[in-house]
Amino acid sequence: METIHLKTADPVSQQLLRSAAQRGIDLFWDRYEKAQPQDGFMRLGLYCPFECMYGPCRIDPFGRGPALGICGLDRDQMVAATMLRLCHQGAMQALAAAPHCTGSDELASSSVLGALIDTALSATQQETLCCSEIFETAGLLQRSSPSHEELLTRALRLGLLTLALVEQASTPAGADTLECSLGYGVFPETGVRIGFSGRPPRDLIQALEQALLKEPESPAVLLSLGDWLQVDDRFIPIGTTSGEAELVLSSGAIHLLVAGPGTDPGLLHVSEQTGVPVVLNNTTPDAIDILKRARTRAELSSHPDPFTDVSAELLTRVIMSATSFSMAVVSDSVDQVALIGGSDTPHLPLGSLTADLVSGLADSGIRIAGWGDTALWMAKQTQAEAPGQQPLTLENGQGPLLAVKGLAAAGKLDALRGICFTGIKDVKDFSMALGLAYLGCRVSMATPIPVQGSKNVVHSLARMIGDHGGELLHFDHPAEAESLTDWFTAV
Amino acid sequence: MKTIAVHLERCTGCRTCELYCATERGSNSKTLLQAAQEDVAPKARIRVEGSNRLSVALQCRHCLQAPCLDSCLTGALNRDSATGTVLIQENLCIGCWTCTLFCPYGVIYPWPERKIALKCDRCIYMEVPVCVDVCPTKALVLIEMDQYEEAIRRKTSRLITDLQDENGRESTLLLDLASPGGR
Repeated sequence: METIHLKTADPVSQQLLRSAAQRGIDLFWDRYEKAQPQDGFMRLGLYCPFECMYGPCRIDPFGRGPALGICGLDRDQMVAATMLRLCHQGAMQALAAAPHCTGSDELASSSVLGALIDTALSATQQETLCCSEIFETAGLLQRSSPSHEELLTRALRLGLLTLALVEQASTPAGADTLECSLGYGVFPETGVRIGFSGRPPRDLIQALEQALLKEPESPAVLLSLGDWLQVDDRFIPIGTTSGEAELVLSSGAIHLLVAGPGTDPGLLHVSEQTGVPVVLNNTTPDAIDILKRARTRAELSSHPDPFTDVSAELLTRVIMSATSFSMAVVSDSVDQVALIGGSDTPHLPLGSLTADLVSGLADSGIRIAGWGDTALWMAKQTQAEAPGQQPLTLENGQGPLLAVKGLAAAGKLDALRGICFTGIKDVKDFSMALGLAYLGCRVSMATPIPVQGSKNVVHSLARMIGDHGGELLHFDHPAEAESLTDWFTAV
Repeated sequence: MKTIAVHLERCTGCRTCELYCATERGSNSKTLLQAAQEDVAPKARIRVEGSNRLSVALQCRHCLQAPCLDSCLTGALNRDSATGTVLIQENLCIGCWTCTLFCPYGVIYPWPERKIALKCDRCIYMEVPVCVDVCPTKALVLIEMDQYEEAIRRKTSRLITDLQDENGRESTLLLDLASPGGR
């Protein structure tokens, strides 16, 4: 366990990690280590999976093996097709969350985002975006005969489309800001603890809350394991980041897991190893039955609460609309903003990049706003600071998009120093990152992206984004905080 | 003396060993993603040959009587007395590639861009050879010579038994090697 500090920066998580290792429980770091090295061809983008039944094809980056796919796809096209495939998947993911959008929908340019997209597209005389491009792309990926530049253009347009779909999928909150409790401090010392992962149905959460109200003599709490779950006008307390969720499950601190769609299978494996009952979304769960099962497990469980001695409950105010972000920026007279967010990733020790970035930017006069897991790490890092100095927390669904719209609405888009994705888990986020860069923002991604297999693609991508006034910084290794701090502060 | 052995039944032909050998031993940057961008494409000292049905990673055997040693015109090839490994001193190699003609296994490769011959040195200065370290199915292993001989003896006896009992035809030998049962 010499590498504990390389897995997570959080001392409580390190303790849990030690305990899980002693009990032989496999966690996502173990799986990550066993998966090393991850497929080199895929990491380079030189891999064409079963988009057609000639495949899978790969191209040798060093020239000895195949230089073309079986259909004739060359190195540049294959890398560009990989990018397109990721963006296509990202747009599909966003479309699935915005079911009211149909194939013939054109983007409404009346919104702030619509106007930003129109401006970006007019810079290179491109046509208006349409949802049907997502379906057309599926056909394009079958035989990617267009040039790598055409494929990249399509990928970047899908990035913009993803932004539009994400905006349309978001549900307006009743308030401009909502309070949310975070961190290991939200775990009560006694009582039943029910964890949620993925996107469980809201009506199930509400039914559980109703059932709990009827039984005040036997307290139980509902906690989210890494996801921002909004019910009515509040959030379920978030006990962990997504990267820490398996650790908490392995500790026995959760008595029942409600696994909604989007739950990592790893959480189910850990639950199985530790005997934590799981309720899957597709089993038409009943609130009373769930409570009963959780209580039975709690009675059998003898695990002491591992968090209460060392962790305080953190509170953050989540900005729910672009308007409230504008107001926050204007009222605090902020003239420089850095957006930092994303998911935990095994490429970097959990929380370390966020902590280093927040420290690195502390004296720069740049106001930070965060989203996702990063926002929780920021709350841990800055809990002692005055409210005016603490980073702003953005609603996770739109994340940086909310801030970009807010700044644009306030006419302060120039104040945006950059958007850093500290970790990317979903292809939707990847697609959003590219879309934001194509929108004209400075964007950095701290985890490597599969473009290094082709110099031409790397150069074309930078040029195309540059033509729209944007910038995309990406690395061929997990990024270091110092490089990103320099990038944010560079004029 | 240690050697790199290949479990044929475990080799899927993924060529991960080639990628990382080329990166670690043939590139300036030493990372895959940077190596792919280098002007002179790095070359691997191990090569995977074969087809979907049967693939095998080939690298220098460090023969006890190595023809390459005798063929080398400049003395660039020599044997390390401590490990028995046949090594190439790249600064002495003139790129005549005579050794590539003499190698009975075809596992010394010309590298025209750098005007040197390229061969496996079992990553002698590293704890574990790169190819062994990265092999996702553990088809490549670093073992002592006597373990190697024992493993070969066991595998051969199993194969002979199978051939006698079930197949009886030599042409099925390759199928047996590639079967997922792990002979």
